[in-house]
Amino acid sequence: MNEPQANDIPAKLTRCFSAVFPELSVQQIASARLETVERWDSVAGVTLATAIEEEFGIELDSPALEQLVSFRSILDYLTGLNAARGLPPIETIEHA
Amino acid sequence: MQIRITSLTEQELPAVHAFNLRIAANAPFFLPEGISHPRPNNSLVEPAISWTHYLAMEGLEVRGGFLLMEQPAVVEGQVRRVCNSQSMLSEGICDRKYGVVSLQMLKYIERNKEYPFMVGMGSMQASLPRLLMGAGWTVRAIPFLFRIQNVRKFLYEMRVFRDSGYRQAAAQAASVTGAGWLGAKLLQWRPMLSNRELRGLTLTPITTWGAWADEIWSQYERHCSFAVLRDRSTLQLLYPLNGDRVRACVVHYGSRPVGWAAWLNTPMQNDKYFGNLHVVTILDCIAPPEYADIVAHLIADHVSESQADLLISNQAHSLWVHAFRRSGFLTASSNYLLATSRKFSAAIQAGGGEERLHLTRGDSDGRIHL
Repeated sequence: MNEPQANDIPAKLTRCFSAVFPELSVQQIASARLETVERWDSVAGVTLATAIEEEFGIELDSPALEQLVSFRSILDYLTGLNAARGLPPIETIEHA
Repeated sequence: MQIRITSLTEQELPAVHAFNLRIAANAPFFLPEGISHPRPNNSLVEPAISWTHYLAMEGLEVRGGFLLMEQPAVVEGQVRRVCNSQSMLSEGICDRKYGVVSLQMLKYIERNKEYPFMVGMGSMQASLPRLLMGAGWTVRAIPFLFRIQNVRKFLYEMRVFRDSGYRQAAAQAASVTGAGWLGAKLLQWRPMLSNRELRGLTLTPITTWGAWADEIWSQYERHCSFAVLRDRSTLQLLYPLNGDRVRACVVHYGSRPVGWAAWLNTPMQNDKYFGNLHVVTILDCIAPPEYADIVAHLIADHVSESQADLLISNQAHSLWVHAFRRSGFLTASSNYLLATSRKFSAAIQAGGGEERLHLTRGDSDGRIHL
């Protein structure tokens, strides 16, 4: 796995979301949820999962796929993954 | 939401029925409410082809399902078990909350099946092909070939000519003036086979698959980067000849079997593409490369004697695309797609590439609307 720097994770994840939902601003991405983003359907979900796998060099297992419902839940998952690898916790980046 | 994938049993049938009711307003089809492919009991022999229905369950509720058809195939020169996924359906089509179910099902297939693929799917713009491309699968159209036998009826019945008033008028004019007939003859021109070329060749309709099928397969398989096995035992399952649907023939050169073909003979009734045309679909054919042209020619001429208005075929292998082109077939846009996972796509490339991929309407459920 490509070991991301802890504070890279939100930025990388934001990039993934931007690629799939180019119409969303960075602020909108931070609060994006499956229920609130109109274009977030099965196709977008699969594309997002693929983008995350490629960006982070991981393979999303079944529990991980269940987190693919919001930016925050995915971020929490990736943070937990980082922590499990003994890397320092991320610094939450608050978008104004 | 915790989704688990499990094979369908009698126990889940009530939940399947409830699922089908929930999705009824949006569903293009439904999950089966019966067990149509029972597993053989205590069988020590793995069947050549097996079908298993799977469900995506959230607790006791069904949130989706799919069918896997597993069969032996040649991949990169080795016999492997490939897995064709069909009829994938999720509750995400009517409730976005379950949009992740499709992904869960797809990931299950990728994790548990080494060579998964899907066929059909309608068009590149349909949601399933787009979903698969999003997952990194390769999706490509399988070439569509056709030969018009009855030009007047073709121009009248083909629904594509009724898409607009202009097209309809143009088709009628082409029919009445004879321009359509002349155009078809020119475009579909092919050289007649000489007596010398035909000498020694015989085409024989068959009602059973014989040992000769193994011989032909052994000569053909090495020319394929991927092909579902088409030996005698699998042909009996792929193209059963004991009913009234599939017809087949074998071509001999002297006493040596050199090719076979299977086809459907369908008088269409108000079909959304073919109207009321009598359509013969050449489902499948194989022959060693040196005989492909002549086998295609003989088969096309044979099936065209059955009052066919139109002959059609989908062929992936360049050998057959060229053979049917040289037999007067034309090509048109195809809605018959093949999708392969990343690993499977890499194996196809390593085995000689997509031009050597043998896939036809006979594979999977490709013949379903024909």
